Amino acid sequence: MSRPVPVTVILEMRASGTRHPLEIVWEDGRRYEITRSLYLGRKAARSAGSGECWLCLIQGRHVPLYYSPLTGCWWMDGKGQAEAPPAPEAYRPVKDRGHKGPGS
Amino acid sequence: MSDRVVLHVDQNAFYASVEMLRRPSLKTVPCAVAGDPVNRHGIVLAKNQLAKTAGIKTGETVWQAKQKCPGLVLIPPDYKSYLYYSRVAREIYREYTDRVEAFGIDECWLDLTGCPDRDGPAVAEALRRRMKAELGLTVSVGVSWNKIYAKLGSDLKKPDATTVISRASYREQVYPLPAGNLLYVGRATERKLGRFGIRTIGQMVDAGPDFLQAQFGIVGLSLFAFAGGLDQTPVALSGREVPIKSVGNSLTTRRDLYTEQDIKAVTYMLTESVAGRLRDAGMAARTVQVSLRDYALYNFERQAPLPRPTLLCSEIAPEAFKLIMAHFQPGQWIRSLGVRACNLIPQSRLNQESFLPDDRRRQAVFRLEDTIDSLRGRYGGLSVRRGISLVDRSLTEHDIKSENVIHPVGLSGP
Amino acid sequence: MERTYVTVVARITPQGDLFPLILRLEDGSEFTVDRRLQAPQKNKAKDGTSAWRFSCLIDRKPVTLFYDAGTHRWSIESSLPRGGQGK
Repeated sequence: MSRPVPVTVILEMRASGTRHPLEIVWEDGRRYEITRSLYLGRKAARSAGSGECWLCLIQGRHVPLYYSPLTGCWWMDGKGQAEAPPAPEAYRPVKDRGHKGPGS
Repeated sequence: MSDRVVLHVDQNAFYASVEMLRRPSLKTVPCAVAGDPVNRHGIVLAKNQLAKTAGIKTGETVWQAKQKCPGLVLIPPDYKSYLYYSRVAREIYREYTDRVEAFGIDECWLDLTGCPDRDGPAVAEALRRRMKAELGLTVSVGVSWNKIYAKLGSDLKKPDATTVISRASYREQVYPLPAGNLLYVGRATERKLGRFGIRTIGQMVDAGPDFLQAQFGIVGLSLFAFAGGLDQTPVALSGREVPIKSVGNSLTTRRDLYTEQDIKAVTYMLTESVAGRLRDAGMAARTVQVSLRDYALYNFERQAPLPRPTLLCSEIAPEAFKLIMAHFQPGQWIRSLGVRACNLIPQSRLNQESFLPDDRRRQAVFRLEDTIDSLRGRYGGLSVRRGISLVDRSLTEHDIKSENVIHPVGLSGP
Repeated sequence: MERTYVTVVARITPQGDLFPLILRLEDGSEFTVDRRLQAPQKNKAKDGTSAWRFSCLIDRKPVTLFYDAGTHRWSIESSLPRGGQGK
């Protein structure tokens, strides 16, 4: 099980149009330098969603970093359970309109 | 002349699949994407497997769905996301051929004839794998030598499967299928065929072209061709394709409408929202359709061509209103109204540059409506109202755009 | 008005908001962005491209950075003073 964790990214956007993530800030505030990154292109994330993926070398481990062109947000695959599914909404019965039609 | 290689790619339970992709916890509960589940006029646009098992059907009302499955989780539609994934899927298809024809937001035909990768089943498998790996979505693919059979193929196995309908096997695969499964055979045609004892596609072929033409006119010849795998319709070159077939809004008002003024107010309000959505999608409409339900739950739908293609509320609303009043009877209390823009073309095909005073006024109106849109975008739909809306605030106190109901192609039929 | 493409290092928040931090020109000169002056403004381009204007303070002078959200490229109007802090 993996949950999507939105992260802060320090991103170098070069004049040529290539993008290079330099650093990420995890949800707990800790900063992690990205030693090296490899652009993998479009990928469905392990946690949720799909987007552009960079394989990042962080503290000796290769971890995926995702970007969604749809939302403009960056995220990573976090450990643990994803959030619980939403509860089914209580069904609201039809409101009485208070009249029976013309002639009433 | 050798056969074409035509694929039909169908996104499985598209809206629901996109929602489950973004929130995987939804896979564990029966869920459905439905327009406006809070008020009572939403309909099911898509459902996941668990909901399907519980008997939920696309097109039924939220009320009916909840009766079958009280634990059903309802999700409001997020068209921006669906359009995005639809577009990305097409980008992937276009890596294989430039003959990519969209049919609605979640279906596409591909013609691989003469392309570097022209092994239909191999490309079908590659697409299935890539959809899963790159987008996290599943598709059903049909492979055949014509569009009709390719679409029949993708319908045969769902989800996540490839079906090949070949010259060797099509009689066993296609002929036993119900006539209604054939593209362009709607309920009325199905019923009419049934009156002659024609219930399967094979029986349509057996009936022969002369008989079908005698009963259905020139269309009968097409029906015969479709049934027999003789359709030659090319897969259009991809370009300015229209992923959405129509844009509509309907509303069940808090109290019934019975004056001309009330009806006009609600019609304009609905049309504003439709026009806004047309603008957002970069489309213009050539036909307007209205639908009406009265207190006796009598329904009707009527449509009329617009004087010219447009996306302006000020051009669509009067036509919609005229259509409604042409069929509205005094004494009839209206419970719900709908306005739908159909027969869409991309906005870029409207002539923008013109020196006719009429067109300049049109462009001025377009800019005004654009300003209204951006104000609405910032402060919410209620901040800018037309004069007529202020007539009876209780009627129009809805922010329709966020409560809209849209009908994907699959519901209104091919 | 000439436009030059530049390299920008930016902080992107979890909500997708962009804060330019460093601006680097073709000649290698680097400038620190003191801060963003206001929320990014959408630039109405005729062909519907997603262009944004970022008003920033660089070396205590207001500078406008243009960002294309589709190509992820940044550009400036070529009147930025040369010099900067060097590489």
